Amino acid sequence: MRRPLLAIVCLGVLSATAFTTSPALRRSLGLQSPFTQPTAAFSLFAAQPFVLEESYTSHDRQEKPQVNSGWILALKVPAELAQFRNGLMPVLCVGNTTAERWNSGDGSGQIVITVPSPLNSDGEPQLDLATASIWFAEPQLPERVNASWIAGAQEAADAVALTPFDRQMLEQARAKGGEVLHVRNHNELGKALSHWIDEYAPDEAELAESLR
Amino acid sequence: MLLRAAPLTLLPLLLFSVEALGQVGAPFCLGTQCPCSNDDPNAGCGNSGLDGNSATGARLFAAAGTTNHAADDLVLAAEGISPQRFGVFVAGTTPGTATLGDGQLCVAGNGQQLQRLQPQTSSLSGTITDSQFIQKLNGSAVGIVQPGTTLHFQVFYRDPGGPCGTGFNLSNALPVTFTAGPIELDLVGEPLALEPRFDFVDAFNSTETVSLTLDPQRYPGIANQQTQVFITEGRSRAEWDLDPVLVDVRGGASAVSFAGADLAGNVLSLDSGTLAGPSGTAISRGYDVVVDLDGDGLLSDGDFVDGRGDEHGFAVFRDMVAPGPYTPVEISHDHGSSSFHRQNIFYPANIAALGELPLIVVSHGNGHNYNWYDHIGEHMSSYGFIVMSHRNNTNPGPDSAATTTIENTEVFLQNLGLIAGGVMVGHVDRHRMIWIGHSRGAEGVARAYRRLISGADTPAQFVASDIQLVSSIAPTDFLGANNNPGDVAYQLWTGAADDDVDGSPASNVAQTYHLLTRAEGQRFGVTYHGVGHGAFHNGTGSLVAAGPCIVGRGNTHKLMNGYFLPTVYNILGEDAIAEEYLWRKWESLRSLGVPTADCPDVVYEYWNGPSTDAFVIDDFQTETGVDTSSSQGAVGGNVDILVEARLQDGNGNLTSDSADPMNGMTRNGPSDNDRGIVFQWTAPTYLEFEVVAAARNFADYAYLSFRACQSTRHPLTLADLEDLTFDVTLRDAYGNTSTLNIGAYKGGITDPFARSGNGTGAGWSNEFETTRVRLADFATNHPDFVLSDVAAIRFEFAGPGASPVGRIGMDDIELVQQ
Repeated sequence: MRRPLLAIVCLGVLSATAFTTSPALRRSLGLQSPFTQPTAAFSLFAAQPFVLEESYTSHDRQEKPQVNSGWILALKVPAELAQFRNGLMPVLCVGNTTAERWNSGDGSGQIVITVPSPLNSDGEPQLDLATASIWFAEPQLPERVNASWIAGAQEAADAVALTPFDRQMLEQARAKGGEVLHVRNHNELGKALSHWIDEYAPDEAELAESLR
Repeated sequence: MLLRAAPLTLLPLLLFSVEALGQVGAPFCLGTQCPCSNDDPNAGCGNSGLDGNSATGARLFAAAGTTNHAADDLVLAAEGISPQRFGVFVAGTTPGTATLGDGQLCVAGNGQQLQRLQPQTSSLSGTITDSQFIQKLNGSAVGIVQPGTTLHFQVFYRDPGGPCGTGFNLSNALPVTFTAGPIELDLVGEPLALEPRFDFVDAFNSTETVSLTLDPQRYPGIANQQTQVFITEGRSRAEWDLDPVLVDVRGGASAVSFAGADLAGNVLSLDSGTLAGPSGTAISRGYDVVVDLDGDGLLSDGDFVDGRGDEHGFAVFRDMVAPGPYTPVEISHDHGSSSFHRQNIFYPANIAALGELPLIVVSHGNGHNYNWYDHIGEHMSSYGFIVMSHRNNTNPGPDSAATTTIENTEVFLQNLGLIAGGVMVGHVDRHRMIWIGHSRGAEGVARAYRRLISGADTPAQFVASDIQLVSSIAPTDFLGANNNPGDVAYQLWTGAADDDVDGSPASNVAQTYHLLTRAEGQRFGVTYHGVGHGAFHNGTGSLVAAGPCIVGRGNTHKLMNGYFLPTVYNILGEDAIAEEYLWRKWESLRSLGVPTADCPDVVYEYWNGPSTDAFVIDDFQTETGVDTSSSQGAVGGNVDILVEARLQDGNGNLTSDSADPMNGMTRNGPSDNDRGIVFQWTAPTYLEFEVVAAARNFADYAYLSFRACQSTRHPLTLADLEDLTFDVTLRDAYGNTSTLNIGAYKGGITDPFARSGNGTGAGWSNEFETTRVRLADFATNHPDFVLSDVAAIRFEFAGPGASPVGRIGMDDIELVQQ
């Protein structure tokens, strides 16, 4: 862990009234998840940029952006927050955007995500993983989440002192992930990610197979 | 094989046959040129009458029965008379016109060939009825009454204080031509242990005994008659008209004698489960039943027939859990552009030899997989359906899932030529499609339909009316009114042990019943005790279940197949009688092949579509006080702690709490306002609903329908924890009563699923259950009861044989058609 535990606990207590949920609020949210406060991803296994020839519409935020590039990430996260439910789930945020989930991480807590981001002049995603926290924000439907909501979620994350991954972990993840992945479209991206799921969430082999 | 069928020609089985009604002519002698300008163009001349308004008179109409000469079951009624006034029916062979009293005499004007019937007293609702006209009039002043005879009827009545001061008046007149032909009625069903002693039903599983009865109190002519009963292949009306020869499918007719004194005494077993079941992809085989009273071997005048119309007398259903005759083929198809356009497709191996087949689209839930619905795909394709289960974008939410459902339906229809070598080209019936979803996908399919009918989405390959059924398995409710599926037929599946969309009032999103409440068309639902969220699919992993008596995937899928198949056949117009599998109590009818142990309990809700002719006695949506029904009738009684309010738990937990009278109710999202009542009893008590004048002719309807549930975790529920029963009493306008116990039809109001959590105690959310009581059964063994003039419905509790204590919720008390 790269965050001082004491700081997390202290700030978590200070912000408890703002970021924990009352029974009434939980009911109104349809909240069944164990979410109590913004919670960071544990670790980053691999990171790889991707570029598509054909863009797709992302439904994982309200603005429904067209996506043709971004990050592929393999993460270790709290399994109880990651588990797919049909009620509201915590929203996985990466910096100023939401993650697109590709597997459940049920049990393993190891998930593969894509993070839409335009490319910079170096051909890398503009979203800088060195400055972007990766965390579970409060439960909401991603299709209802917009820039304003994410900004608020970022403030809540800052209040509990969530920080980005350290440089060493990022470098290892980038080395593991490899060079930019160029594929034709969203479907081909899914096929590529099936192999990530094989590697990082092998107990979800049926899901991986269904993407190929 | 489910080839495109012509629109259903099956007519509702009413107490009137259309043919017979056609022989009751148009009213005449309406109130024009009345003696003192007391005209009423819709009835007889204006009177003092029931309403004290001299501009309205007494209206004579056909209230029940037929004009069949042999049946002699026509009931005529005149309404709009002052209560408890002397009146008499008169009949004549010719029409005429003569001023008489405050009105006009329009039958047999010269006084010849006119016959008065026995004087009567009008009911408290101002109605006079009479019947059995053949028996009463044949050989009287009107001469011999035989098939083809036309008589003209009118009612003469006292009217003190009438507008012209003579003290008497007449109704309009009505011509009736008595007809020849067989007597069409319900004959077939199964005996019951309690009154009414016989359940006239049409659906039988292939191993069940088919019985028949005839009531000599209604048809005196059959008493002690020895005759033959034929079971024939089901024929349409046209086929019967063309070929009336009786051929018994058993090789010979049954020799019977109607020696019993009443209906129960004449119950005869016709077949003990030997009749041939359906062939091909049909799920039932229809039969007709004829009592050949004259023994001529033909369906002829005076014979009794069940099934002369286009709906068969009864039908024998196959084991609908067992696979159909076709071999399923399963393929995966990748449409190439989006990861969400991947599909798992099932079709019959012999599809090339088949016509256009209905398409079922399956939309999975969050964390589920599109390859997890083989039990639907294999089963339905074996019966001649094409099933396409697609990858679903559920993580963003149900609106995105809806997008995926629409897109996948579109790309499937658009690219048929690219799938499996084009084997399905020309074989997809684009106008008979079904959307079924699970969880977020279940909300997604409802949302998708809403987007079609709102015009938000306009796919090129199909329109909203091509979707015949939207079916939701354990749906979430994130979107509120935006997921209202509108007027499409809507089906809901709920697992009471679901630990994801768990149905608890602790979450407004995870309550499945909201969409069923919101739907506006034909709608129906099932709740399975012991079934978890993950049991509805066939993936691996947890059943996502909590509570006792957990049902595994195998048995859950048997339950699903035994419910979904008759649903689809009925909704697509392939099998009218299959509807009985959607509303009859689990204890009364369930497909062969479903699990039959005590666990699971299964609870059905059912509403006819709004296009059917129903009358709502009380749905509690208006007149929100407890003393007036939504139909404006008075409500009274002495049940304990009667509360009328929104059907929604008040505090989010299931602990029984006197401060939360709606504990366990989960019918409403935050913006909904579905209302009902709750009450309890510990001693004999009742709750009575007055029937307003507009609805008093119960002969116009087939069933009294209502929904009720036991109140979860309440001490009075726990005190008698089993199916709950009570009595329903109808009181006619003359003060006659007839009582039936709802338990007579097997089952009752199911006890709550004994799941703990979300508070103290055991019992989960309240499960409303539809009960339908056949209205004609109230007249069985009560020949004096006047079903055409019912003044009140009384629910009576803690009577002999009924549950001694209880607390229930109730809603939607209606008169409905079949």
